[in-house]
Amino acid sequence: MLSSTIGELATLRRQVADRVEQAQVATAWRFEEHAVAAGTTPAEQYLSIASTCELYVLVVADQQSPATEAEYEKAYEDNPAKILPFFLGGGSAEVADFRALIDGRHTRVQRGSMAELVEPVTQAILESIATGTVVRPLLIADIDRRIERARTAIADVPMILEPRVLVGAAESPAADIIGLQRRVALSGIGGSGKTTTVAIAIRRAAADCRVLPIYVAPTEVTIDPVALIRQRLEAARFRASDDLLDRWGTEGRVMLAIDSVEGLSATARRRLMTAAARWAERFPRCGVVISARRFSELELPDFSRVEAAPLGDQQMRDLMEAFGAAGRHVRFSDQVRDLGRWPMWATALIVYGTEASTGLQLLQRLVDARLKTAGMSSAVEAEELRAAARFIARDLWPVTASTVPAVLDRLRRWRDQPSSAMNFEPRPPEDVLSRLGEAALLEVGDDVDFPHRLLATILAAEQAVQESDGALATDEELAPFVAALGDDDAHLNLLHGMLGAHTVFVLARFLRLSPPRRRRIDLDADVPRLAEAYRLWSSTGEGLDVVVGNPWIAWRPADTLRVDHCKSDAYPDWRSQSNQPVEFWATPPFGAHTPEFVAAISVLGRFRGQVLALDPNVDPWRAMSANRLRALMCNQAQLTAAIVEALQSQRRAQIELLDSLGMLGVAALRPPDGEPQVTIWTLERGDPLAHVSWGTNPASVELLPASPAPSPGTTGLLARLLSAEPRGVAYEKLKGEIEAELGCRLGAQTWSRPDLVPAWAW
Amino acid sequence: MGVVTELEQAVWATGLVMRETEFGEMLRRARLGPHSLQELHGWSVPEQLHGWELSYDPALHRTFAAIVAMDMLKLTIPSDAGPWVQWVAGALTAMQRIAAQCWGPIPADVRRVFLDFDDLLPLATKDYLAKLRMDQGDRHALRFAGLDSRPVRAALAALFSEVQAGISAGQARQAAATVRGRSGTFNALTEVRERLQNEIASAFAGEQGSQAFERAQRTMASAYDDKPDLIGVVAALRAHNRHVTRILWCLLGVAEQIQPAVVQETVGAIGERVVDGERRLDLTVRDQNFALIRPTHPVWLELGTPLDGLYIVERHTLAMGASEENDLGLSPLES
Repeated sequence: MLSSTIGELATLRRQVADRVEQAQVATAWRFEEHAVAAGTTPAEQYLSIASTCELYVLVVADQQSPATEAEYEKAYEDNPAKILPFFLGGGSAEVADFRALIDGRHTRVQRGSMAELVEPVTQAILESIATGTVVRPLLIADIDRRIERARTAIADVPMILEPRVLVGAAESPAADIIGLQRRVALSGIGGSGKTTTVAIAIRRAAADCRVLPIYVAPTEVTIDPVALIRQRLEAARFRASDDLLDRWGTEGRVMLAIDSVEGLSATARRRLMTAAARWAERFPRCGVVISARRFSELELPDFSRVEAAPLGDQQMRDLMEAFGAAGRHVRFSDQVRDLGRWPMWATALIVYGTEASTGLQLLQRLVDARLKTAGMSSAVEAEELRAAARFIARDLWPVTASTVPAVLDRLRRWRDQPSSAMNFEPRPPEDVLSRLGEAALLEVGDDVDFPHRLLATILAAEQAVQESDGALATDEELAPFVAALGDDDAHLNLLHGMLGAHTVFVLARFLRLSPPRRRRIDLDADVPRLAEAYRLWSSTGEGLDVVVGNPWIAWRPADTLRVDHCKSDAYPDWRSQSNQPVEFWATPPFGAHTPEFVAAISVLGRFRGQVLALDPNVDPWRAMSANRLRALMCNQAQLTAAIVEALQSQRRAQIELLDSLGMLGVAALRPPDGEPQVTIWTLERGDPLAHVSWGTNPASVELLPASPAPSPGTTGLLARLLSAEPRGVAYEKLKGEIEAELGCRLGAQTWSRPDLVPAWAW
Repeated sequence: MGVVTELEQAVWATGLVMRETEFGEMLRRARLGPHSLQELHGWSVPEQLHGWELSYDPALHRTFAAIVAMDMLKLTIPSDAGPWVQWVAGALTAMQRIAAQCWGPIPADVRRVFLDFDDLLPLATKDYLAKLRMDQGDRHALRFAGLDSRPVRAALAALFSEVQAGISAGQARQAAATVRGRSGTFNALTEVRERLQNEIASAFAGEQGSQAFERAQRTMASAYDDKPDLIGVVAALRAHNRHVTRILWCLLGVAEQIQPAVVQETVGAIGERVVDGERRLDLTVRDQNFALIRPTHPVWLELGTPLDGLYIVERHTLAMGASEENDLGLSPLES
């Protein structure tokens, strides 16, 4: 919009328009025209344009114009950075105050005649587009909104804790590391503050006035970084051309944060990671930070890996103090203790009670609290809103956001269900959506989103557990929540089917989520249930040999179910009849846990034993002698054959190990498909390094004379690659991956209590 | 309720009375810190030596292991270590005497003639007490730090009686009779000892410490492989030597524990499995008194179950932080 206190600007408009069009920095320009025929007055139309235009060129001459001043205020209200002010001539008493205001707020340019203004106006327009200055405040405001949203997602935390990350074992402020490393893959459990971390990091990066901080959340249909950036800019009403985005990328103006990747399918995620890596490679001067709960070894190999750090002692004290709980001795239950150091969980535990036994209970309390504190007029309405939120969460899953019309459509479908129609008075879906927003169970804006993925998870799980058969069709992320909710003596089929259909890792997560329950022990019923669940979930389908004493009970794997009652002095005889490991309980555990929960403990413990028993006890890191390696390096054909065979042998060995673990046939642990692509870096000093990746191209080995910074997890000594014992390497790799999935070493302390293995349900 | 043996009760009872003597007091104070003996005797354990002792077990043996380790690294043994080392030497002599009594009527030369891990350098003995079988027949050896008190003597008498009634002592007596009765057996055992003694108790030039220890342990394990006639008798004598060593672990362990380790409640299930032919229990205890427990220490299980009895700590890990959970790997006193 070109606005002025001069009666006629047609010539200036035309000339500036021509020059700007010629510069071709935008696909198309739309210049403000005369008011069109409409129900509103011309003044209202111009005010609306001033408010919504991308750039507002203000020319102040000698005449006072209240209309222009009103338009200016509207434009200023929308975005001060979009205003490009110019003074024509020396001014007059009439416009002195207005000019003083402009001088106080902006940097303006003064010229003596209209003709002299054409060039500076054109240049100012082009400059603000080329540098993104016009959109920068809106992008920063978007980041600020996200930081604020993260701050209040769980409770109104009256402070923002400086996010810190771990690089290896060293802890540093996240913004420092992300600013320094430029390409960062940030991992952390749900609730570890990843969103806050990336938002604060790119907000800090925006202290450099050249930087455009762009926060994006990919969806199944939009995973290309360029498309995501464009989408974000369009949300700020800025339509950038491909050329302009390329220019920003080349100049290193973009600081890109990619968050919320958990809802993507495996295919979309793979495409996103590939596209992000390519974009980062194409624009090395730009910063890129991607956050996810975990990254596989093959994802973003050139990115620095950092981990969200738990809160330090001082931060915990600050948080406690912020909620008026300073000095209070806080004791968490076993199953949430390791969560209590993460920002979201720490906040939730302090605000909603430390007595929650598991993270699942804590999330349920969070939902309860939101419904209570949002002024729900009745228990029926609270139940109605919870039911509606459950339906939306389940229907959207694994996505957690949608458009307003799509969510309203879902609410209509929910309302038309017999159970909803029977239990609740029908009311417009718009009302329900509005109330869900007031209860802070949904964030309703241009789109509808859950305040945190974990809130969507618990609500979707609550819905799934009520479904007669749908619960069986849940993914690995949702399944442990559904199973934990169904671990109540009433959903045996659901539990059997769900935990039998997924991997042992889902079983481990289920153990972390299912809270203790007070129940009456009935050994005649509990023991067969224990054995049945064990049979269904153990990789071998074996039964249990159970011996019941008074009050103790013990069992061990056996071909078939057998239950004996015996006195204490007969126990040594029973024990000596088999070398299978015995699980001995001084008192039957069924008073606090269901037989299915106890069976899961046994299955997980047995699984660990099976993995450890696979250890071939050979040295996996034997290295080829320097002389032999030197000789091999002189003959590329032989070298290639030796490397390819070594890698293929390791892969075969790993598949064999995986197959022997039965139910663990999980894709995440399978070695990559395809053929190895190997780059050998011959160094001036030290042994050659080998960088291995797997792809669809034929196997290849390339020798290069110098080394880049080694990529994590994929680079190693060539001498070791060639000489390592395949079974040993395969075992170490498999064990490492299992330990990463379970979150603990297989020989660690927590294995005496398999129900406390971290397992990363979050 | 449990299946507790008389021997387990006798070992535990003896340990409890030994901890009430000056001997127990000294061991406990030595564990608490280098200066804690000062008020009792006017001297202390030098700090540097105390630091090295923390790496080894059991009590008494750890002092000699620490001295050997420092010597191998050419570190000067603190000049004020004398009183403590002298006390430990006296205590070890007393333990040798108790061990000798556990061997019962088996002649001293027979119990000394075969090679076992206690013949290795103190750093390589796998927690065996070095030279434990080398009692010199000093009848006054137990007149040391209260070990000759009436309660201790009574407890030891009961203990020796139970040990002699046990299976391993019986098999060792039979083996000793074979050594004495079968022509050439004693000489063959002597020949092996003389041939290997130097090899197992020293490091060769250019050898790293760990290499020397592993070599010595391998030599020890295979010492009689080429003497099939000796394997049976050596196995029986070694089994009893291990049994006696484990009893001594218990006595020293109870004496030096800050609180005798009694488990009356566990967290979660107890795992029971067989490792290399021996039973092994894995359990978790929530009790801060277990924080300072060491491998070779005894633990008394009192759960009211058939697992009750005396066990020895093979492995201990402590969860730092709020849970105070101790993860214990235990083996029964009598395997």
